[in-house]
Amino acid sequence: MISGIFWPVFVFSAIALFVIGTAYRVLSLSRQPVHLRWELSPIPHVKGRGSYGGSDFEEFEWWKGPRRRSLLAPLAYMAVEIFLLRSVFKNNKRLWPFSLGMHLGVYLIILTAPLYVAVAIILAGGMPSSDTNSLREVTYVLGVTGYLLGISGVLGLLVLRSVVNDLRSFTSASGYFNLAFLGAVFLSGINACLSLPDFTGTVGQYAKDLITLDPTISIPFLLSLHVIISILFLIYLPWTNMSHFIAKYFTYHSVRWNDAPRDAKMDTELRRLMGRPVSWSAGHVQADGDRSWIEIATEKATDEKTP
Amino acid sequence: MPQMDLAGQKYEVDEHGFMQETSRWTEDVARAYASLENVKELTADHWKAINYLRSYYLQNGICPMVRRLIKETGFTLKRLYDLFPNGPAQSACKWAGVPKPTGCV
Amino acid sequence: MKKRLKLTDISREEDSQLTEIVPDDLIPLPAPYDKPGWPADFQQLTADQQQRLVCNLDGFVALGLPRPRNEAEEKKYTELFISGMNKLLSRENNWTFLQPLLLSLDYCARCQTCNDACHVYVASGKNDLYRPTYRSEIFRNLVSRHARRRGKLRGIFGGKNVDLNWSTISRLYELSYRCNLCRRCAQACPMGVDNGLITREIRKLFSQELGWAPQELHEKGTVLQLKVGSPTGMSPDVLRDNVAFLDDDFSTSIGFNVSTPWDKEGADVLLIHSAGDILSFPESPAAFSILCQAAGIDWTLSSEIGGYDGVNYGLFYDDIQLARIAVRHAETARKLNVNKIVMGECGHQHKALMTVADRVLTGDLNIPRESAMTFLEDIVFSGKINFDPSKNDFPVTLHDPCNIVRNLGIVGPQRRILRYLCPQFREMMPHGVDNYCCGGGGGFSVMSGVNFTNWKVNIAGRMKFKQVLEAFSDRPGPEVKKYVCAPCLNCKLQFRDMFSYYRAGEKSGIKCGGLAELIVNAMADIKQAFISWEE
Ligand code: SF4
Ligand code: SF4
Repeated sequence: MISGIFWPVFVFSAIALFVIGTAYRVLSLSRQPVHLRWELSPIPHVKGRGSYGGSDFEEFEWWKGPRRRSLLAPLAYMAVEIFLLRSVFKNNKRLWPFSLGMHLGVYLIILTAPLYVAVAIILAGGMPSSDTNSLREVTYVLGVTGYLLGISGVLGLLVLRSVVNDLRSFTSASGYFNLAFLGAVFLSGINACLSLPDFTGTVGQYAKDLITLDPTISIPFLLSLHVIISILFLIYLPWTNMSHFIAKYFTYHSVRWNDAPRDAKMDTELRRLMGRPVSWSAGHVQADGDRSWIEIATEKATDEKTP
Repeated sequence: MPQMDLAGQKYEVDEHGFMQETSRWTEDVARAYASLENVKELTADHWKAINYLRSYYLQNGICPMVRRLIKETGFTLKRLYDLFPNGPAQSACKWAGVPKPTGCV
Repeated sequence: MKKRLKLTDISREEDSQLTEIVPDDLIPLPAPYDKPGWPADFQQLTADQQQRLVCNLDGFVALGLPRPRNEAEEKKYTELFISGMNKLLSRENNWTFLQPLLLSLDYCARCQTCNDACHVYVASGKNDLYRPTYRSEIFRNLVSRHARRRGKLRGIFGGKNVDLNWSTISRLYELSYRCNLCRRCAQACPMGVDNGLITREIRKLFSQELGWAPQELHEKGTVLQLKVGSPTGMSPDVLRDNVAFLDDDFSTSIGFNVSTPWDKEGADVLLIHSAGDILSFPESPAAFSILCQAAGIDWTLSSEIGGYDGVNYGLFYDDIQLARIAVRHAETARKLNVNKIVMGECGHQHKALMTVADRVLTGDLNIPRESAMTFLEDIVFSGKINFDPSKNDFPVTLHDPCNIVRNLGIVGPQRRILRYLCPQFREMMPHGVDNYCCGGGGGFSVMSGVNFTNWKVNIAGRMKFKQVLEAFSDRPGPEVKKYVCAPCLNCKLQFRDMFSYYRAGEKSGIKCGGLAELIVNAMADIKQAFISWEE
């Protein structure tokens, strides 16, 4: 049986890898050059107007007025989007229940993690296991619900993606693999959960051993299976397009809702970007690899295109 | 460039049959276009509109506004559609041998 | 029967059509437009056209790309396509849209949630070819295989490998002009992926790298505008002459003395119309002149090249041309030393100049830019003009131009005007930021291609036409005159084409016009009706 120092090394380095992967994603997404404005209504942060899709431009001489911003509205908008999948509900009723199931499954399982950590801390503090009973009961209910929702969601999605023509023709091997991988996380979870006599107790103890770096750490096979699959999934996640949980921040805040007029900082960056040479080949662009974007954009081109 | 036979001659046209070489236009070309749209004979009213269109185009490089055409010829829009089955832009300009109007028109 | 299309079909070597659109597949229209095969079957390509031009997509040709002369030419363009993809992914060449492009390429979940939001796809009877995701997924696939050499696990896992050959690029070129760039699908996407943006990037690649763009948008569009002043070909002299003619003509016909000011330095407002309005919908610029005059606005038009046509087709296909034109607009305003530029009733002008070009107009080019909607609202509610709304007592509905409403969030002002001045105003469903595109978006209203107009009125505009008919379903007969208010020249052109194709004036009494016309028509001091119902 796997035991001893393997577990803390494995788990903590996996978490580190996940953090690194996520940070890499965040950085590579955020360190993109400033782009031209491309906003899309509705923009919820526009106070008093966002709800129907209005913007600052609805104000006569809008540049004179204050840009009134709501902090709460975008949060509320995002909450409904993240927890209830608003756009899928509105536009894809067939997919919604399964996608929702899968996502809620993930959220609930994520929610159990800090609860287990809490259990571990209590145990590490030397309290008797019985002190964590009610906490573990809550965790158990969340966990089982999460696993079951997750499994049904993943199964439903796998079936839809295999039988419905329009989904099938767009789903690649990696698409099925990602779903199946996530399904395996849920499945191994519910299996361990229902087969082990005291699932939450075992996990709590395991978590305590992890954080106290106990070298005698040892867990039942079914649980180790679940932990290993989940951990591998965690490492894999940031490198796939399932990392949309990160990208979505940018598609909304940097593009759809990015209605920021230029400021001094942006101007500096824009000047730098526009000063760089352009190499597009079409005749009318008149780029020779030396002339900069701004030189090209401020002159007029009169040649004709071929063909 | 597609070509088109009009009154026994070949002319360069666009995909919609508008002449590309305005200077090669003759009255026979106008008649040939008209007969393709089932107008057997060109009357004095037809010529009035066609000649106005042509001279305006040659002077200004674009076709006149329909409103101006109406005012200059004294025809109503309905009358223009009677004379030119597909209307001033699609028929009259074509018959007058000027290129198809472009831009947001 | 519709055949299912696979992604890989796009690269099918034999130069056959990918799909066939038959009238029976399209969503039905309400009576009297519900007769099968009515008004006519689709306009077929001639044998000569098929022989000269690339027509390997859907039986319609918007672009008229000549067939390649030989294999070397095919190879040259295929290679340019690859270098173009690389440039789209590079900061130097594509900083303008790099971040949105990468986000849209990398995070699609292939859930197809966006599909039903697209009016083209739905109206076509859900033809696979017109899915918002079909062209994006193909492009994504090509990018990951040919432009991102270190393509991670993609090579093994990506699946569905689309070959890159002449058939692929020529079909993709034509297919990039089957999307109105309306971004309704982007609103629906849970990830925030923007298929409209991807389409525009594809068009850009073709234009900026291969030198392929629709004639109507490029040679006869932006190039002509930069040279002569307007894609209509109107030079400054012709422009002034035309507007003087209109001032005169309207002064006599409505008994209100109109006179349009020119090139007035230091004016408060520089109004930039879409010059096509002067030629095709002259009531619109005339109405603006009347309103500015009646409200005592200190305003001017410009007769300088770059200052009198607000259109900017660069928005549809090319960043460089977009910037060149926007800069000229702003320069005109700077030279005239005005306080602000007001957009005419033109949606893409609004979007190009108010937001998209915002980050290009640095320094003293950053002159405040205002929408026609708020400008008119201010005039209407200023109390300077007396109105008699009963003069507008006919059914009116409002079309929301995508570029003004979905893209800029200007929803309310035009509605407040209509609710005040049009007793029979009613909304279409859906409306506001959820509206459907008229079908003329993305440059289509100025493109006629070979038989493209036929596609525009039958497929792209079908959903809108249906909505219009439904909005007027309480008074369907032609004896009741009805007005579709579309405060955008491009939308008006599309409506005009559709209404004439379906003979909607004659059959349903529907006409289309702008917003300013309705305002002038309600002015108490003008005795003559301003809006004429003659067809
Ligand atoms: S673009 Fe968005 S809605 Fe469409 S398939 Fe991709 S993720 Fe789904
Ligand atoms: S941008 Fe509009 S037309 Fe284009 S795919 Fe999306 S919904 Fe359809």
